[in-house]
Amino acid sequence: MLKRLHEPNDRKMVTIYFEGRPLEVPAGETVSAAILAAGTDYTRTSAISTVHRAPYCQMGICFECLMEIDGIPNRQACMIAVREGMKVSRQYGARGLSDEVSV
Amino acid sequence: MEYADFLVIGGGVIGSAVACGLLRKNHSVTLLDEGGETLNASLANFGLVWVQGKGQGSRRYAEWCHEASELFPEYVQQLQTETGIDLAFRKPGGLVLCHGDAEYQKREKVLERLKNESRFGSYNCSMLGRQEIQQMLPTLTLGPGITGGSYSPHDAYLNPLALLKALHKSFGLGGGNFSSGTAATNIRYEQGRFLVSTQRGEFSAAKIVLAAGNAITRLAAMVGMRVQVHPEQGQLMVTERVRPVLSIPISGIQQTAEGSFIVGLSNRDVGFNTDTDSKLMKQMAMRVVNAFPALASLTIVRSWSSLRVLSEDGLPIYQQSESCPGAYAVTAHSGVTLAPQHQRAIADWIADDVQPDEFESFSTRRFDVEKIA
Repeated sequence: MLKRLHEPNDRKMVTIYFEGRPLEVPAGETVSAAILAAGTDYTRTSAISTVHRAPYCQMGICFECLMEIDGIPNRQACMIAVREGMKVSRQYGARGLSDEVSV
Repeated sequence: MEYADFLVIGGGVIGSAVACGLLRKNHSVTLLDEGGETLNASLANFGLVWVQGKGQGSRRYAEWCHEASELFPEYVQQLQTETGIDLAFRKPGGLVLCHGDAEYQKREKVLERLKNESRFGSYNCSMLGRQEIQQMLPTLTLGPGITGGSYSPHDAYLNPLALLKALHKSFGLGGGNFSSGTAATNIRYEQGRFLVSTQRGEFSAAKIVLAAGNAITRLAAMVGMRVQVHPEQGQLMVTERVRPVLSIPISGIQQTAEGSFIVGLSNRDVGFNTDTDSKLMKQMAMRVVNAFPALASLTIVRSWSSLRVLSEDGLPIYQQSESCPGAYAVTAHSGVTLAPQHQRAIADWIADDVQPDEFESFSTRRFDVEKIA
């Protein structure tokens, strides 16, 4: 869905996992940009209507980019930079109270 | 110049309910609202239909709230059927949680007083121990500091934004004339008619209803009434959406139909100030976490403050002007809870001069110092 303007040739790369699948992404990129560039058409299902949603504003105010990152649900993927070994999953609906896993 | 039988100034939950009530009596009604950045309690409240604990020292007010709660389920049904808007109204009763023994005893005294002041010596709200409350909340564990609380079957909650939207829609469907962005700057009473000046021109009406929240004092003075209100700040926070775990409204904590938790209960006298205060947020958050430790991990998404509209004794004011008969003042801080009363009994009073029982309890004459002496 998203295509980088410049190939990350000289950038340091890190490995993150999206829904268990390893991805090589440039260090310093936001999780939302990295996931979208890797090619997916949705990053969460909404809490009420369960429709497929994807990041929108990319600046932390729309809350469309909510994903589960390193065991913590409902994190704004556009506000978090990728980190070596990071585990990213879609946020499926609303979180439960005990969904948070300590890391 | 626009003319209507009735002109209601203030399109919040009180003005809108009164306007809808007047429309139902086949009158032409114009509803004016300032719009814009108005300090609008109707859009920033907790959404409670609350009876327990209210009316200490005023039996009539306690009953007024109870009557409203009894009317509410059918009132919601009617509004939903007419507008197609879901108000997310649920009436499982409501809880007030007590942290520690001192709070428990204080709450117990409040209920005792209300019971003694009640007409039949009964008051349908009881103290519950910690175990009993925990049994009512099987999916949420109480924190160790909760000693018990009070429960009343009369309490309920709804989505206050949906309520206001439904009232506005009902008003439109009923043929009412709604003008937003229209602040009333002056009111004249001439030859038995009211002339209201606004930025959008002049409006005239046989009768006017002032329901302008904290702006009512200035307007009331123009038609010979002394309606003294002052703002009291309340601050709230809302969390990320969570799967349903709490289906009973608690004073200071509730989970909306969409899954967010709205939390907070505060009252500060800071004038016309709706700034949020992070120290206060922290205090309120700690209280929530002490009540339900499992909520500690939730992210706060938004916080806001709004201003309650309080009369000198905190009770509603329903008053007709003596020097300008046909001008009415309607103000209360429980605009959500009292919506059925405002749409029915109060509209009946304004349109047909049918007064509810013991209506003097809500008159401004109760503030006349000379009379008390």
